[in-house]
Amino acid sequence: MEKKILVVDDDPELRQLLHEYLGGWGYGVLLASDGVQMQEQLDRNQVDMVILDLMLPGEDGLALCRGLRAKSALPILMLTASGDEVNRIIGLEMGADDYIHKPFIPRELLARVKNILRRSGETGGTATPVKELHFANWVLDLNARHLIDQAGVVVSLSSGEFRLLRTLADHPHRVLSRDQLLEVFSGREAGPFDRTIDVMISRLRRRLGEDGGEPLIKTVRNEGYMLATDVERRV
Amino acid sequence: MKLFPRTLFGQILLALLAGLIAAQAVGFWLMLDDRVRLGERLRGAYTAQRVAGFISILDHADAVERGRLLHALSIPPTSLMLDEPWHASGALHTVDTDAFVAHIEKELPHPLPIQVLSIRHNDRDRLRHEIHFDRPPHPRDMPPLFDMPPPPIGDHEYPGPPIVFLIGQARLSDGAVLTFRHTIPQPNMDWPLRLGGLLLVLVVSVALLSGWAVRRLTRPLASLADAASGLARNLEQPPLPEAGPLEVARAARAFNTMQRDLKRYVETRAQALAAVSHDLRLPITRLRLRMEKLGDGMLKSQMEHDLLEMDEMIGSTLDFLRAGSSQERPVRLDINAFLESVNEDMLAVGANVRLAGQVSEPVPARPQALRRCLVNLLENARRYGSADIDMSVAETPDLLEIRIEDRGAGMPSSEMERVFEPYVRLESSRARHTGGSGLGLAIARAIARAHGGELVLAARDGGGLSAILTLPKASS
Repeated sequence: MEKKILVVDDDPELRQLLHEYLGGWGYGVLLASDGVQMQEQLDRNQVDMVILDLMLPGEDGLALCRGLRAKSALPILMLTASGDEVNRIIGLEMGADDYIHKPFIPRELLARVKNILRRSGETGGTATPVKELHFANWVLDLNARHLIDQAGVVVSLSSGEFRLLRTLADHPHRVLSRDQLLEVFSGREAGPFDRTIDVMISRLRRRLGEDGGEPLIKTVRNEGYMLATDVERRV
Repeated sequence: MKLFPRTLFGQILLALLAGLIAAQAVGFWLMLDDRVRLGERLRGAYTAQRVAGFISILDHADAVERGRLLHALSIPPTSLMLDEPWHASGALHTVDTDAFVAHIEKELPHPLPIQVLSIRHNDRDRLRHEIHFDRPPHPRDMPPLFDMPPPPIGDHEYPGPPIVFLIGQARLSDGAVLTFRHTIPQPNMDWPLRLGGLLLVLVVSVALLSGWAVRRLTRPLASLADAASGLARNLEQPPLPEAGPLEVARAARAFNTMQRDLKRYVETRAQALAAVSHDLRLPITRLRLRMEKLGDGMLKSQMEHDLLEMDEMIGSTLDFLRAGSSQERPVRLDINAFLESVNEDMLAVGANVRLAGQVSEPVPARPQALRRCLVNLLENARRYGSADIDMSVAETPDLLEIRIEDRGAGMPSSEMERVFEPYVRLESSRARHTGGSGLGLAIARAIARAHGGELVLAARDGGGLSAILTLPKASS
């Protein structure tokens, strides 16, 4: 079935171009220039996701995003024109599912749209975005992509380490094979990760201060690795 | 010259004390001079009375008695003689001698001719060894009278140096000439101990008090100077306290106003640049979407490349504008893990970075900004330097020093400051065709300074370039 995407942006040309582009990829595209029109479109149509510009005349994108999220689990992709880190983080806090900043590469926008629609299809709506994963004595900050220890000291992670830890923490008490973990790196930012998973796991263990005692990341012989602790997801 | 103080504090204090001491010295000199004058007058009056008494006694005595009396009355410091002739041409007429003669005449019951032949101010030692005259002696007029040593002072209370030796004559009623020689001891210039003590107390107390007051005046100046030199590095520094003396408070207020105006000015310019950069993003987005309608081909990929470059320029301009005033909150950062993660990310994109050194404790920092700073430096090292890059960290009690070093061709030391200016690139062909926004170092330095630190370039021992980033261990 054709997915319907509502594009909310104040620039008519960009709206039209997005219409043509996303339409070309088989999506039904609805357009709105501000919050009022957005509401009208939502009332009239069954919409599957919203692409929402952050800077809008009248009520701005953040306020609209918060309003939408309060009423429904409709997936939202924020267009943050400035690429401003703070706005990005606030946007995610306001309930956006993802963000992309202008000037984006159309293929990347398409990838994000597909990703969001796939996720919402799986979960039957958008899960509330998680901001932090709490486990053992650690906090994994998903926006800043670093660990915070008990004393509040920030322990940085390389992007590979972060993705690996995030994957493990998303599935606590579950053994993940090396192949499953390697898949993490075949995403859109795939790079020459010539380091093996094992090397990265041992580095992660060192980050987590596991020099002795019961390790948080357990090795399951011939199977893979597992995060052996409860993980609390906080928004 | 070295003794002259260069600080305002020293100069004001010196001027105050010099003025005080000079004024006191003049005052004391005047006082002492008055004392001396008073003493002279008293002694002059006493001598005149004494001499007048002798003249009067001898005037009334007959010749026989005179001989006896002469010896009896010749007691130090006066010696009397009757065998000198009247030295008519030898009379001295100065203010002092006339006053002395007038004084004697006043004391006499009836007037007699009196004259002073010589007054010598001399010190004891010179008197003992040689005789000096107030005027050159006339051989005719100056018989041995003047060669006689002055009578001893006889008053041992005055051991001090200067004495006045006086020779005079009186013609008695019967025509006899009485010659008297008298030594007037001059008072010691005895610097009274008490006055010296008073001066000392005065100088010390004024020095202490004015030292305190001047220090109070100059301290705000020092903080003003600190603020002025800090302004260039950090427009966001807290305003000066507008307290203290009126002038100082006014200067502080003016400085704060200037800082506010400067900040507003810089902000306005930055906003204008940000707005332009920002607004460029919309047309680039549109262009990219429009290009999707073109078939794939050489032209399209070239245009995509150009757009990517524009995008990067805009991105780094915005980064540069934001770098100084990061909205990111500072956290306590584990520098070891941080550097390792940066290193890992660099290795993942194919850079060859060696990391050395450890830090003992977390440091306040903004991780995203600091990462940007280091990545810029590492990318520069990779782009312009050598394949092998060394990243090392060392610490002092207050500072952290992160060095990023390559073995490339380095850079002339004259360029090492200039390359930090926005959009400045070295005019070497290598730099030109490898691109870059021209903002990497400017951003890196702005981030370093926003952390209260500094970033400089230096030639590396053995060839190559060192980028040296220092960060304070305590939050500024």
